[in-house]
Amino acid sequence: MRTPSGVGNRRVIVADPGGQGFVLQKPPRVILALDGSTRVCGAALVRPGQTGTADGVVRGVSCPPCWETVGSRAEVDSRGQAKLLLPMVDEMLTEVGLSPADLGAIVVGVGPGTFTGVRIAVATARALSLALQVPVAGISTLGALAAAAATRVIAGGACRSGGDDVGVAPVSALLVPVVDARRGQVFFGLYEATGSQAPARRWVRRGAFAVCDRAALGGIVAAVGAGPTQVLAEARELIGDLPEGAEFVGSAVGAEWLVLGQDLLIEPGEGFEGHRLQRWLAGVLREGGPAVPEAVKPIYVRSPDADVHITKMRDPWAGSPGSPSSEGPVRT
Amino acid sequence: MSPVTRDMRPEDLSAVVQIEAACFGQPWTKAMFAEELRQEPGWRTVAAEQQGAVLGFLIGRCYADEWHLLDLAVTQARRGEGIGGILLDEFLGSADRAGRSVLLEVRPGNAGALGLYGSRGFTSLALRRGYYPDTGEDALVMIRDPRAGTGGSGDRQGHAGRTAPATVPADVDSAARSFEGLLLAIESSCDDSAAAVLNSRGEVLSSVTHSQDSIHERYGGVVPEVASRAHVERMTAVVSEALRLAECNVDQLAAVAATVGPGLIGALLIGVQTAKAVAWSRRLPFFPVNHIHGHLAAPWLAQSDARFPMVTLVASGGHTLLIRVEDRTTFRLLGQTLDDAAGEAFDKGARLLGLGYPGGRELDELAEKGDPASFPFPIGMRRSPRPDFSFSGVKTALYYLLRGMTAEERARHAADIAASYRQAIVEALVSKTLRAAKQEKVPTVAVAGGVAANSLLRRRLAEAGGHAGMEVLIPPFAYCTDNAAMIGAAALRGPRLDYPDYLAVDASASLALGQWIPAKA
Repeated sequence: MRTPSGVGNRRVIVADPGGQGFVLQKPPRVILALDGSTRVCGAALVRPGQTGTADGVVRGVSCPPCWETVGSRAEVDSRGQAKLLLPMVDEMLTEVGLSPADLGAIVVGVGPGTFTGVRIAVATARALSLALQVPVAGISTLGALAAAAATRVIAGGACRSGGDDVGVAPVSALLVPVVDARRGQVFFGLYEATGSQAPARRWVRRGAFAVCDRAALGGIVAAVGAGPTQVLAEARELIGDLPEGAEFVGSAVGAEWLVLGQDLLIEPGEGFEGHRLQRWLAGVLREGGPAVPEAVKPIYVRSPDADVHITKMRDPWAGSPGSPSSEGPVRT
Repeated sequence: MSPVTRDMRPEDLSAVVQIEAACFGQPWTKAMFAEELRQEPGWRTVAAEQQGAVLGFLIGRCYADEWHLLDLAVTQARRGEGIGGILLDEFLGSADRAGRSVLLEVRPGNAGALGLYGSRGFTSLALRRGYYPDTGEDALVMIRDPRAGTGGSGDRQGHAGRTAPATVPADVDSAARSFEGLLLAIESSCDDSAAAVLNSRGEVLSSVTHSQDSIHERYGGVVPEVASRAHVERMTAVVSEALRLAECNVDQLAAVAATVGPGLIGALLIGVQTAKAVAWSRRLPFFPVNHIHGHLAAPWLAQSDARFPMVTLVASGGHTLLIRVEDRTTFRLLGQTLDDAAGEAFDKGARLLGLGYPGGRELDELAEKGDPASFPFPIGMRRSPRPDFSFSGVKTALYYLLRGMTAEERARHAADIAASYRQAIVEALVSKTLRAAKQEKVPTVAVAGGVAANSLLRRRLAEAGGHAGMEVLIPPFAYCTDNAAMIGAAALRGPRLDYPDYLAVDASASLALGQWIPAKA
């Protein structure tokens, strides 16, 4: 099924007029980024930009191509991802004069967030990977919030460093992206700054993503004790009191940050390591890559609520008269 | 004396306005009718009259290149008598003679109308967004080419008593005609992830079903969140496998279909979104399918020369329905369960007997070794003349029977209890199905859904149906449980949505019989 003639490997082979054999003509392609994990359902088209420009992204030492956003969409509807996502993507592509065949890779926000929203985005991304035969990558939604904040910090630091103390502005040693987990809880991640020179600075995630009560987040941030902290969430109500040195920064998930700014993050664990993503994507756009739809999986953090039933199902007569386990008086 | 048709006349006006007002949420006014009744060229009106009373009417606009059916209504008291068909045939006959195609808009939820138009050779063309001002509902635009219909002049196929088509290919209609190539069908309404590839003639090239039984076993039932997680985990792999077995490439797909409801909403969404994304990426048409329509397709998918009309019992873990299947597109609900589904009763009974989940099959096997006359169980709705079912009574009886026994007694009598319990459920299913089939005077009874795997049901239905002189259709097991081949077969008879009209199609947990597309929220 994965034939070289698939749309995903849309290399047109043409005879070289100079008689040197054949050359490959690769139409310029873009990356589609999708996220449905929060109330904001978003999609973006990004592609490698001109060196050192594009969206105020300061060029990192180890991320050769900078990226630019070709199109971006966001709509607020916590239940309508199935109705919103594809029309949004379609509209966006049409507007910039592209078609699905021009997509060279898919990047999808894999949560944590609303379970249904995450799944709709992941199912869409997987299906597109399968149908277009292009690679797909999963990036955490919390990582997208962190990437946007990290980019802002670097840009701000660079601006302020026009004078003497280059890159040591002690802003935001800790970035704490937060997403609503409902039931009075939030999903969060802890990204701690490493290195003091602004261009080399990255944020490395401490531990796995987790869930906690809204009111408990302040204590968790305080316990890290990393210094100046930005808590990134859609709304202030999502988090309780914050310790001194920690500020709330209103942030909504923008799908483009599933790619942009990822070079500033180091993500341990199974997923993409953040800073390697862009280089991988650049290679995929240049040379194509294998379509493995199953490579992206949702991050749920919470297990389904059903586990409580299990013991009861094992023996429906546990505790009833006549069952070996019953010892008490016969119930009526 | 049957109704006759004639042109509408000015004196019909008040009757027509009354019928219109009773039929539509957004009725035409008297002035609007008066305007159109001036018999100007370019209009065609038909009234159905019986003994001086107007029973229904039709108004159409005749443009140079095509005709447009604007309004068709039948008085409430005389619905279901084929009067709409008589009016429509009159109009279509004229259109055929003029060599014009006919266009119309219909509410996607109007099952009766969709069935009527489908039977006359209308096919879905597009979705007109927010067309109906009263509800903001979309309109399905349907078109019929001249002489393409089966009911144009005189030859009224699609009605009860017609002779059956010989084979599926000979009776290709609607969607089947509208694309060349392969159809990918996807099903995810409950706990099975399924994909199938069919050709445009309805032949199944591959059908892959990934059951989640082993996952749900530990929960003792289908947990929606668990099912949804499993669907997203394996859906693309199931699709890839279906393509591989059909020996085709994703490039060769010409259309995509998916179950859009009814079912578990989170589970449905995975299939719908996967199908829409595959369709979008290649600008393919999309066919939304009602899960129940899929089950109804299983009998004729298994036997292409099935005789219509038939009464079909759809019995599964989620549904127990008796449906009159007029033809491949026209369905009428006769009765259904008032509480538990039959499959649910089997699975819950199995659990009470300690047979695990989903223990329907284990209960069936155990029952084969027991005496069905050992324990009395109530047969739900036995005395009711209505073709409805109830299984909560038999389940409760089992609970109290077992509760009053010691573990040793339960073990000793397990086979007899299972046999008696199964007997009560199957008797209810068989007797109600046969009674409904006799009342409906159909030549065929069929069964579909997971419960159709029950060995006693298969035996008893074949036996009782045979006695009554009816043909009994019992599809192979693979087409009884949830599968995507039946969804593809149903899709070939249903409405087609072209790019970009399907991009915003949502899933619906509660799609009614006859509805193909969920109404816009």
